[in-house]
Amino acid sequence: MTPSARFVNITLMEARAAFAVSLYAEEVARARAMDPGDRLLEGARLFDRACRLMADGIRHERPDLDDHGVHGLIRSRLARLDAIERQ
Amino acid sequence: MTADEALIAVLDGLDSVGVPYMIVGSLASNFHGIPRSTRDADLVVDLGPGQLERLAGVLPPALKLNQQSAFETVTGTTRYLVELAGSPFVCELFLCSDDAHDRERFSRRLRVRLAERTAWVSSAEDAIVTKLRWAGHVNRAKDRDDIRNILAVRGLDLDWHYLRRWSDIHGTTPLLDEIRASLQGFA
Repeated sequence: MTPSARFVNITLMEARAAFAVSLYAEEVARARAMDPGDRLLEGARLFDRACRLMADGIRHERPDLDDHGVHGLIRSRLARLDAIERQ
Repeated sequence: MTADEALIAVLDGLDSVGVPYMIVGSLASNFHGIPRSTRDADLVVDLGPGQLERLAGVLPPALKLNQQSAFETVTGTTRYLVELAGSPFVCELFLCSDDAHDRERFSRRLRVRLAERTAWVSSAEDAIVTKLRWAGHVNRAKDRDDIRNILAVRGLDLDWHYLRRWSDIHGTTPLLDEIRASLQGFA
């Protein structure tokens, strides 16, 4: 890498780092502006939304499955995610 | 019934049976930090004789309390599961143990406003102390993120003397310092 390319690379890395910090600062400010009780319940609401999206995706992939089959597949995918997180 | 309605129904059930409880885990982290999705609501309960059976009787039909207890290996505590029909969402009821920090955090729990009612939630300091402790057993990125987010949102508004006392006892002070250092001015 030439000196000028290295300089551009370092500048880009610094800019990305500064951008990440400013995004996090926005996230913190949004959380501080929310009611703490809403923040707590949001955890369950986000999970419900994620499950609905997963169910829609599974129904698209597997139109042969009934609701029971869709929910079974969601559970097995969540169990796999848990296992990955614990590795 | 949605997951947040299920949680409120369980809290109502605990109140109606007279079971002292507190919300812990990721929902407590959400209360004090930045909200993230969670598939389980963790509660610590101080169950008296016969209260489990009475709780099972007052819960709405969509919620099923499994009265068979299970031993949680990470936390070393006994728990009961409340399952929501048609959803992977669960409420986990952990029995309050004799562990010194478990007893102290229960005595410091906070009564807060939650969806037009009041509820008991673990304090921010105790949410951090517990997450630090279990982060040593199961190294999950989201536990570190939860600690980081509580520190960032609460800033200096934390009882650092209390935090340090328990992190020293549990040997987690280096991890607390490492996470705090990563915040670059937020805490």
